[in-house]
Amino acid sequence: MSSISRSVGIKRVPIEEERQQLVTELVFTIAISPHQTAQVLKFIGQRLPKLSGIEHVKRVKKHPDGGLLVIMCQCSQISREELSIELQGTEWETLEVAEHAVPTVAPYTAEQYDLWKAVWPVSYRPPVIVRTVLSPDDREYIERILRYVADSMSTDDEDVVVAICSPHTRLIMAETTVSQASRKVHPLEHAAMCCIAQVADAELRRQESASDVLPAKRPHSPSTVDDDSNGDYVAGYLCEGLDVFASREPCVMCTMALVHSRIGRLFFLAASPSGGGVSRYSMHSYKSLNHRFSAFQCSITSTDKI
Amino acid sequence: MSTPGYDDGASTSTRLDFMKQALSMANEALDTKEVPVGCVFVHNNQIVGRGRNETNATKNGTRHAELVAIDRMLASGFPLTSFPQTTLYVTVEPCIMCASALRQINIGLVVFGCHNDRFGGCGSVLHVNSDEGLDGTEYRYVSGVYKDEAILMLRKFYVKENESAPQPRKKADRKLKTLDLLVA
Repeated sequence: MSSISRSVGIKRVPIEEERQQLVTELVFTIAISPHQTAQVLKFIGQRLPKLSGIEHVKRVKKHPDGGLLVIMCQCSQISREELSIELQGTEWETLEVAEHAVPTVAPYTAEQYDLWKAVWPVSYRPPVIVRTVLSPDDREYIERILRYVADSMSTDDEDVVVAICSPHTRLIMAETTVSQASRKVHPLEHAAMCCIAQVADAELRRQESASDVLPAKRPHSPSTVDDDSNGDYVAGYLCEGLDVFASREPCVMCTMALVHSRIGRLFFLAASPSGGGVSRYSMHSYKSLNHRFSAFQCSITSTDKI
Repeated sequence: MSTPGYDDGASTSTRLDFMKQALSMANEALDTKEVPVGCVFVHNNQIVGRGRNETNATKNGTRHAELVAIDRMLASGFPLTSFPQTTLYVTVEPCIMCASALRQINIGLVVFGCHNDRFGGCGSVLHVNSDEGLDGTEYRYVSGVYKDEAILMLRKFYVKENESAPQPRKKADRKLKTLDLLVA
């Protein structure tokens, strides 16, 4: 007798900040001795433009010879000539103005911090990343739905299956399978779009049939499941906080539809063959968009057991 | 924009005429408390589809003007094969979702009024219309047609309270600003 056991891998897709490469810009510096620091900083504060957008960069760096390097201002703010005019008549008039590279963006991960600070000292506050560690029963629920999604695919591997679940009830609220043939009839009828429409229709029907009843409340986080008493809830707005499970990474249209719908988490199995919204543009964590969600790339591997 | 592709060769006055129709769809959205974005699709100099935002009424965040119009066109038999010779007139730059949808139906040309700095998929946030390797066909756009009218429409909406927002803001003190706009 042999049976097949399937293990599920769940790997969070890094957000935009975590993928940030080191980018630097130039600043004007002068080398001073430590006892001059207070005076120099006072002069800078009164006469030179404030650092803009690089507040994470430390003003002063130790110099190998025992002195200090002080940032005067960003090279993008004033020219070297303008700076030397400002310096005229000060104690530091004769000091040589140098240029140094400093990190343009604040470090987000500890690895970035190590790399950034080797370029120039920067301050670092480790981020609080919400809901990245999955509790055992959360993980069990995620694996159950992922297996269900994988099993719902026919032998035609062009099928795309999407299910939307509530992390609160851990039940499926909407599910759709879209075949390649139906995409030829309507190229925009993707499984994720259909599921979003199902959630919307269910909410409309619920409101129509129960207009005299209080609106349904949906908790923001799964941890508040049974605590119905404290009133700390918001009504179900679009797909806010819901979990989306997809057999394939959503395309750009569908990923933006998930952003518009304010989902909580996305779990997908196969990467998109033609550039999905998460892998191509990090749209789950795009800073200028008004909503972000956690994305997880998942896998199901079958192993034969004897 | 130098992306090669379809050009409908429409004159400025033709562009203005069709955008007026899109603006009237946006106005319909405003009247029903929807974000005022409207559009028309034009094929062979004829309007073959109309749409406006319906996100609040449907409780579906994907019911943007463009997708509403495309769904209706396909349901009523407009052939998929005609989209490459079709021009979309939409009052506001398509969002990233709609920009991708337009690419996937192989739209010929997109004409829009004002840019969409928060969600725009035709250059403002992402370049979904022209980036290489995505699904569908790259397309060109023309911007700025009745731009100020489109902005005024949005401002009229955002000075009011959006009852469908998760936490509606009180906006009783807000005033409609128009001094920077050139509208008739």
